This record gives sequence, C-alpha cells and structure tokens, in this order.
Amino acid sequence: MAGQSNPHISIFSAPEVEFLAEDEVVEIVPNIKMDAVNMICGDFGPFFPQIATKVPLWLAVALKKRGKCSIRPPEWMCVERLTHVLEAERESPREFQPLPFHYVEMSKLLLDNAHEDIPDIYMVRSLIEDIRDVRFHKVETGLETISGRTHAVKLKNLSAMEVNIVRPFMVRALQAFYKHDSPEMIQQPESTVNRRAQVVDRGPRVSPCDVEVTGSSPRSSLLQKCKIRETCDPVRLLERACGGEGNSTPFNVHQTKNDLGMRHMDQSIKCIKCILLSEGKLISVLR
Amino acid sequence: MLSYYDIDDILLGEEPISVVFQIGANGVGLLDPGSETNNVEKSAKVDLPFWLAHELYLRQAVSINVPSCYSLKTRKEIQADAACVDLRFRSPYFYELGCKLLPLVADKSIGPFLRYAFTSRYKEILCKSHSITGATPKFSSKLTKEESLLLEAARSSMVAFKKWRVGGSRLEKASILGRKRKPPMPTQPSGS
Repeated sequence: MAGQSNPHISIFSAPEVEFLAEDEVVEIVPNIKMDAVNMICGDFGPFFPQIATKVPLWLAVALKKRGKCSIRPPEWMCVERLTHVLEAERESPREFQPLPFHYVEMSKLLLDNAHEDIPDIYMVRSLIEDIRDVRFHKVETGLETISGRTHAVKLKNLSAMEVNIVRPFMVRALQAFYKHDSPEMIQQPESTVNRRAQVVDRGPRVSPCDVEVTGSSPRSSLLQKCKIRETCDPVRLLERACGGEGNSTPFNVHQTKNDLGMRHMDQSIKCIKCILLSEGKLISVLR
Repeated sequence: MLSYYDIDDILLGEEPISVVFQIGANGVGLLDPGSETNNVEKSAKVDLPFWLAHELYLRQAVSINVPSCYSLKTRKEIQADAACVDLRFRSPYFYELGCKLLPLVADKSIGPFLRYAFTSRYKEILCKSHSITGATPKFSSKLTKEESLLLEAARSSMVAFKKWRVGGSRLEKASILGRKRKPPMPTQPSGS
C-alpha cells in the first residue's frame, strides 16, 4: 500500500490512518457563497449560505477552521445512538457493533475542530472513549484464543484504528504460531513415540485432522482474493467449513474434522493466512 | 522470515553448541581449549558456535548434543510456570535456535516443546502487552528475542495511538530546522 511510513512491515501510523479517514463524507452548512471546487477526488459545491451540502471531512475541517461553515455531526454521533451502541457492546461479549469504519478518527477530528457544532459534546466524547475501551478489551480477550491452529482471524465490524493498533502484534503472533506449528516442527516419527509421550501431556495436543478457522460469512471473497496455489480438496473443505456458518461472532472458533492429514491441509492453507476485517475486506495477507 | 541480512539470524549463529567430534581433526587445536596438541581427537567434546557446528554436521564430522536450554530440567520448569522461566538467560534465541536444531538432532520432541512453551508464554505477553505504557516491565527481561519483539510491537503501536489521541500538530518540524547555524570557522586556511 502506498504512503506507509514503513512499507516493510505494512504498518500505518495513526496520523496516516487519520489521513485516510479524512475522505469520509460529512454534511456541512456553509455560511458563504462560493463556486464549486474541482479536486482530483471530485467536485464539491457550489456552496450557498444555509444550504447543506456534502463534502469530504478534510474540506469540512478546512472550511470550519476558517469559520466558513458549520459541520452537521453524523447521525451516529449523538448521545442516544452511542448509548445504545455502548450497551450493546457490553451485552454481547463476542460481537462488535457496526460503527463507521473510521469512527475513532472521525470523532477525534470532529470533536477537536467542530466542538460547538456537536450537542452534548462531553457526553459524546466520553461515550466514544468507553465504546473504544470496551471493544479493545474484547479484542484482547479474542487474541487469547489464537493458537497454533489458527489460520485466519476474522474481525467483523472492527474499525480501521482498532485494527491498526493490534495489527503488529497479531501479525507477529500468527507468524510465530504458524512457525511453531508447521509440520516440519511437529514431526511424529514412530521412533520417537515413547519419547514424545512425556511431551504429550505437556500441552494441548493437536489432533492431526483438526482444522480451525475463525470467523464466518463472506468467505468466498477471501478465497478469491488470496492466492490459492493449488485448488485441491482441503481448500474446498475449508471453504465449506467457513461458509457454512452464518453467525457473525468474531474470534469464533469452528472446528472441522476431515480425513486428510494436517500436513496436506497445512500446505494448501498456507497461503490464506490473513487478517480480515469488516465485511471480508482483506487488509493484510501473510504469505 | 529470516533472511541473509537479518541481524538476528547472524547473531543466532554465534550461540555455542556442544558437539562430539566423530573424526580426528588436525591443526584445529584452538577449537578445543583442553587439547594439548594442535589437534582435536576423535570423540572429543567441544563447544562450537552454531554456524560451525552446522557446517561440520553436514560433513558428518561431528554429532550435535541437545543444548541445555532444551533439557528435561528446563522442560519441567516450563511445565510448572512458563511465564516465570528466564528464557533469555538460557538463550536469547531460544525458539529460533530450536527450530534450526530440530533437523540436526535425534530428539524430535523439541518441536512440540517449543510450541508449548510459546503458547503458554504468549498468554502472559498478551495480557501485559497493550496495557503497559511507561517503562518496560520487570518480566520483559525474561523474554527471548522473539517474545520481546512481540511485546514491543504491541507496546509501540499502543504508545503511538495514545500519542495521536492526545493530539498536537500533525505536521512535524524537521529536525534540521530547529538547529542553530554553526558559527563560521574562525580561521580556515582556505586554498582560494
């Protein structure tokens, strides 16, 4: 992805994510008359006093700073909606509530720059903080379920900034688990069976035909987007395993039995280890 | 993940490995401090850096002993309380070395053992990683290289986020701008 400060590890810095969020469209009410502005990203305006119009957030903030408009807060940014979201977040420990993809960044920009346009600003600010904390706590508890058998993590409805915070940790953790669970590392030759017996009780052993996938729905897009080098049975099995479930719990672990060995399976799903987020958007593909 | 220019991969090669020579070697007495002649005798036990041990193993000149950090004692300690074991003291490249050693030694139980150790220590790292903000905590001195990179990844992204949230100007001043200009050199004999 272009524009990252560190292209090697595919990490965005927080200001870079904020930059991306500034393309979100908001409604403003100008208090000036101005012709349409023609930008690379599109034409906005013309602007007439007291006639609401839609512009990207960066333009809204720029006009606001010059006192040329007032910004209408997005409809999710009101006390009732946010209270409702917070309650729902607290009630469902395994599910994220749908919020705009850039809600963290948008709320920061709006609260900083347009504080007089937002009713109950203190309440809104603290509600958003609370929602973010509750959601992040959920992410952390979800990360606990990652194990050597996790090949994909689906984070439905997680927002850009939240993903950005956990991405470095999660990518590294998945890589490490993948390495330690690779068939080269976990050999089970007959000659060492007795010796292995002392290790067996040490940890949760993987039965060789367990496949574990996290998440659910738009799995076909995942399979299309990831490069699948060999279309063989394990992939189809995996597809069935993932596509079959209709619920939307993040970090949900589904297990499928199949009669193929872990080794065979592992090679075919090597390439689809990835981190997904809202609605199957593919953000980062490992391998 | 590891590549030719990876500094950790290079440093990993320096880890001492105990080997037993399968053949006598002339003129390499400096490898064996106990040797009186300039030779290493057959079935002598010598500590070699991993890169050398690996090369000699491929030439069937030595056999490799499993290092003490994968011994039964360590395994028992890991089993008892994985998070409290000081793995950095045993070997900062505990996991990487284990992965590289696995094809070279007969004891294949290292693989599952490494996975068990990582899985159980991962929980400990996870529950602390995103919450620490200030100084690095005490337990981080017990982590191996791989684990501390994991911790650092989480910590730095959280710190960066908190910094962004507190705010400040998005435009950063280039470090060169704040600097005062150097006073001109007093008497530079220029070759004009």
